[in-house]
Amino acid sequence: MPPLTFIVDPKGNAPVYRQIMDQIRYAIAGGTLVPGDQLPSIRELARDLVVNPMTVVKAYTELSHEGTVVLQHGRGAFVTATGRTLSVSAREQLLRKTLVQVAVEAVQLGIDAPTAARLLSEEIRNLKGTSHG
Amino acid sequence: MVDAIEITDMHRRFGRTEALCGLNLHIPAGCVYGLMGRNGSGKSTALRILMGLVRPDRGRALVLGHDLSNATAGQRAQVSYVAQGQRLPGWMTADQLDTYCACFSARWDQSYLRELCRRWGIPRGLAVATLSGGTQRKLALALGLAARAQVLLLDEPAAGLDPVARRELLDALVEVLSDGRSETVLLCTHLVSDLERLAERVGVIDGGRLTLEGRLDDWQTRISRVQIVYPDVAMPTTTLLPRVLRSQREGLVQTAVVDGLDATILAALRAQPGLRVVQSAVSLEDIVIAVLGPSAVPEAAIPLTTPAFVET
Amino acid sequence: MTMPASVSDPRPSSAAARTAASANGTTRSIMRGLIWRERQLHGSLVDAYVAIWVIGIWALRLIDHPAVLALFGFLLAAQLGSRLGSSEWKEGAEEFLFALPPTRRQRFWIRGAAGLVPVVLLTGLGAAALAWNRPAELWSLFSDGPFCEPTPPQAVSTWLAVFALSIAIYAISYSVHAALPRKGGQSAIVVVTMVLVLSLPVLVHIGTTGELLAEMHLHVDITRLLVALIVTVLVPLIAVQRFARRAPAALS
Repeated sequence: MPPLTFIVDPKGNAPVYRQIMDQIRYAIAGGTLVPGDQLPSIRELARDLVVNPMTVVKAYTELSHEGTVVLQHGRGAFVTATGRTLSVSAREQLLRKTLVQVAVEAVQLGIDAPTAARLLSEEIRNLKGTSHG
Repeated sequence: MVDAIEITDMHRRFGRTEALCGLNLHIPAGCVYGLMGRNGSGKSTALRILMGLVRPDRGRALVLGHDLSNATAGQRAQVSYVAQGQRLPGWMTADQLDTYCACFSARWDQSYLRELCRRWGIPRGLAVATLSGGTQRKLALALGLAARAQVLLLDEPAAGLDPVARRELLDALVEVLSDGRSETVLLCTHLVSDLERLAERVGVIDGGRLTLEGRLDDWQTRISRVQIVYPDVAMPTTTLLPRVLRSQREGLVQTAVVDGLDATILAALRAQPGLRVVQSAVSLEDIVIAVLGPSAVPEAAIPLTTPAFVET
Repeated sequence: MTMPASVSDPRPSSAAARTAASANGTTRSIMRGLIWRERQLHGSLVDAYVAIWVIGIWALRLIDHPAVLALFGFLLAAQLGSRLGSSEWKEGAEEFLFALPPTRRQRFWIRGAAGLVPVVLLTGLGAAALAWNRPAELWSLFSDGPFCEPTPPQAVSTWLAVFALSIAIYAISYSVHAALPRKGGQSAIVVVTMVLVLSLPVLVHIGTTGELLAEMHLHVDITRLLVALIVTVLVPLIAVQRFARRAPAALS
């Protein structure tokens, strides 16, 4: 199992389980976690993050519903071939939810759509770049 | 399935003070519940009534379906109570307390108590009265956890503990929650950050009754702070905001903590001519202060030019 | 949502600890625990009384008259009763102690019985020894001196009365302190209750009124004495315990 560091901020703007989910997705997108990797056990992660184990359970369960991870009875949680079990449109639907907030902020800051798209492409490129580092 | 903790229409008066007036609290088994409220709001009284230490004037308090003031020792052994004001018998040592408490419950875990004493640096052969206040509290907590009870009632367990000890307590609670026995925990604390880590459900008690209750996840998702800048002092405060927990308008600026401010409403607000709207996250502490405190939200004003979610 | 066992580590085994604890939680172990604590707290007091008893009755024969034995017995009973009755409150740890598994009822009766034992043994055996002149006979085995003087003769019922009164005082003192641990003036309440509850048996036992009653053709016999004893002990115990259960027990 690759060394993973999760950081959650209980005071943060999202529930802890969502933060865990986001970080796992981030790790998958960035290549730190590859399909077949085992996620930390619930006990371990709860202990490291000092959070209620049910929060970790919820995060893992939600991720398994999404298809990002699979829970194997008696063995643990494993990363699936990322989102492959979800159709393209389903994946796009998930992304759209996050993009609404970005759109709102872009408008707030007076940034137009092409500039916002350019910034997004740059960020994705950076992410893909670090995954091979 | 029977609720782990059931308080129905609880009333209790001390002299002329009404500590509890119509408290209703139902906690399902296996839930970690955070109860917040000001000092004197009735949290401690509610817990004492649950344990059978104080009799209510009216109402019913059941733990795992039993009234603990009338239950058998075996039923009482399923519940562990650690409170802020509790003092341990001064002449007893930790080892003596271990043997003493072990007599009363088949579930008592002596090896776990020894483990906690070792981890937390509690000397086992010294009389309790010779230990520092913080160490006494830690010992009380260790005793509470070693009971391996199904229901844990914790009233300000971390009060008087230094930050390291507080973290040790959190670690122990996480460990207890991880052992798969689905303990129910009712945690009363002012340290709201602890609840943000541990609680599944939270409630706010004010003036002897529960004023706000819900799942922590829901609160964190649904409740946010919004700051609206009006172009004109005379412009009336908008009515578009959904359920408002607390709102204050000072001249051009309105700050409010709201429940259910989604993208649609936000767009509608921003569509209003001249209105500048900034939405930001709000911590559990802020929510509690908004619900309990005076109408002014006591937070540094969010700079108007900073976008809602600041990248760090 | 239950925690799926599949994704958690195997639980560290504390099976060994669990089997060792299987003897705990029974009524016997609860008794053991409660009595252990009382013995730690009041053991030295009881030891002191035992010492006085040995020295007073047997060695120096200072306790030779029912009145002196009564003083000894009453003091023992009152003191033990008050200490045991409000035992949890004495050290300021009542909130911790009350939250432990033993029920109110168990605490009340087990502790009460534990305190009754020294009272019964010391006054009972003391009264019996003096009534049947045992100390004098013991001394006469070794010497010829003044310690061999027999105890001045008393009616058996007088000794019995001392014994019974000690028990009654214990029962009342214990019950009053158990019911009203935080109010002041428990001693006053004990005395008043004593006077009310025991006035009749006292009058009957101590003698002068016995003659009066004999003139009225009332005979006092052992059976009635025992019944009176049982009533004077159990009635306050039960009545006060019921009262304690109904009264609001405010901690703060």
